[in-house]
Amino acid sequence: MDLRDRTAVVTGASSGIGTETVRALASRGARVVATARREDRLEALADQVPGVVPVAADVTDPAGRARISAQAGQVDVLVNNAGVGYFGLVEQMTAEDVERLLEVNVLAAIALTKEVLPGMLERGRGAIVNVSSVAAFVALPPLTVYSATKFALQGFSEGLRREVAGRGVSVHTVNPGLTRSEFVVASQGAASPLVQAGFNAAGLPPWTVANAVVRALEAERRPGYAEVAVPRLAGFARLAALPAVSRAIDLASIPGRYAVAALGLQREAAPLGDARPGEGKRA
Amino acid sequence: MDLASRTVVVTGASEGIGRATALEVAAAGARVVAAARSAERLDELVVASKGDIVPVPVDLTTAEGREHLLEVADEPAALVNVAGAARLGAVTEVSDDDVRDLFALNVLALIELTRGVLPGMLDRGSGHVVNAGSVLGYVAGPPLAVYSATKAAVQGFTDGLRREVLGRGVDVTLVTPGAVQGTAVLDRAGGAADGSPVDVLFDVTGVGPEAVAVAIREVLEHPGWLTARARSVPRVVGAARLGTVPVVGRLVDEGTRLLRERAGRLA
Repeated sequence: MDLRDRTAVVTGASSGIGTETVRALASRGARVVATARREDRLEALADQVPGVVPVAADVTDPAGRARISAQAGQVDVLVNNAGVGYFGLVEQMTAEDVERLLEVNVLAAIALTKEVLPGMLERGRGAIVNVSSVAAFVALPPLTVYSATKFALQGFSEGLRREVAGRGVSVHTVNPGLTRSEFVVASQGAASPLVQAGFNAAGLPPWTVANAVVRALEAERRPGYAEVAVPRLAGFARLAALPAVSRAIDLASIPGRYAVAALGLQREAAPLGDARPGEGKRA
Repeated sequence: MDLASRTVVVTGASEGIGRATALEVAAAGARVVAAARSAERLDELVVASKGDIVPVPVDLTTAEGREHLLEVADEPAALVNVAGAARLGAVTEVSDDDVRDLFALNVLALIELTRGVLPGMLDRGSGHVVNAGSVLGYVAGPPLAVYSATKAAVQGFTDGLRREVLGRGVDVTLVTPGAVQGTAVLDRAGGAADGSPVDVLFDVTGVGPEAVAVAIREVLEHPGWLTARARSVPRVVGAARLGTVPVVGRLVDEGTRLLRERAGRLA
């Protein structure tokens, strides 16, 4: 798809991958509707980058989603990037945490997709990019429930792309590994051992993921969709679905767990509370 | 695990796989705590079984319902999460509320029930959680894209949880049925009629719910060392895992496209 003069909606645009994706799409000449809850950040982004329309909205709220589509008008590209992360054992989570993860990472993305899809199908043109994760290929503690939400987003993307194939709408996923964003900070708090250990800084710079989003959109060869792992090599995590590989990961998870416990990385999981979608979040 | 006089919680016990599982596990001597919404159908289940079945009519999408179930079960030896719903239809035809309801039952209730029994099981150093996934969790497809997403979530959760508790005495197994006969559980969005290609496909190629129930009982009785990971019913549908390999995924894409063009719509 040639992105010039197209309208793109990017969720979770106030930081990390979202912000970089807004920049990348705008630099290709797209009109970008940037959404997140933090208005000040969106305003600052719009001041810096021409062609950006800031819309402060909560994607988990139907009224927020309605506002986004009203402001956007005809949407050619939807980038579902908003999401929250959570490091912690299943037994240590609260019910609200589980619900919040599902709400932001899955339900909001599906609802927003449903909002723009009829128009795309009618015009026979459009693209949806779901920013998923390597955790959608392989589920590992202490990211179990986060992985479950990314598995869901991946499954949804796959089913949807098969549903709309040949009707002018493509559905891509971009699956980053650990990214240098607010993911860890937002889910753990700045004082967490993970953050202190520099775990955050070890990740990919968010612009590499934004580039993958643009690459997915601009690719015009068959099969008509992209499922890009960032870095590419991380795509081999797909093999985790195969029984022998899965068992090897099972075995490795035992020493892995002790290592995580020894480093004190998992006990710090604080309740998500009001963690914001779009506050940086890939693992 | 020898099932005799152990407590096993089975959700979704009023019909299909859940009902068959409750009967099968009760026949093996377990005390089955059977959960479903319909008190009437649970009573029928109790009458149909010669074993020990405790009916618990609850709505598992509510926290109170889940608490009540876990109270009655009182530290069960095993939890079998079967309860689930599906909406047949294009993504645009499934309402936002339906999407929410599907995730509330298929994913959230499953995770919360598991979290409810897990601390006790870890304390005792024994227990088994069996989650019903679906082959569609391996290979997602229309007209069940949203359902596929919920089952993928179940799969991811089960994989992660297994790796979390491995070596701590608690087994975690994913059972992935392929097509199962009798699609009465598949609600239809957009008013599609019965007798769709999907119905025909399920009835012709599907296994009976009893086959899945037998697999679940076997898994409970013989989890095996590190083998209690995933069990497909019939086993051959486990090959659907290959769907994650890009080139196979593309073939599935082409296949669904051809099928859709031939059949018009699948639902």
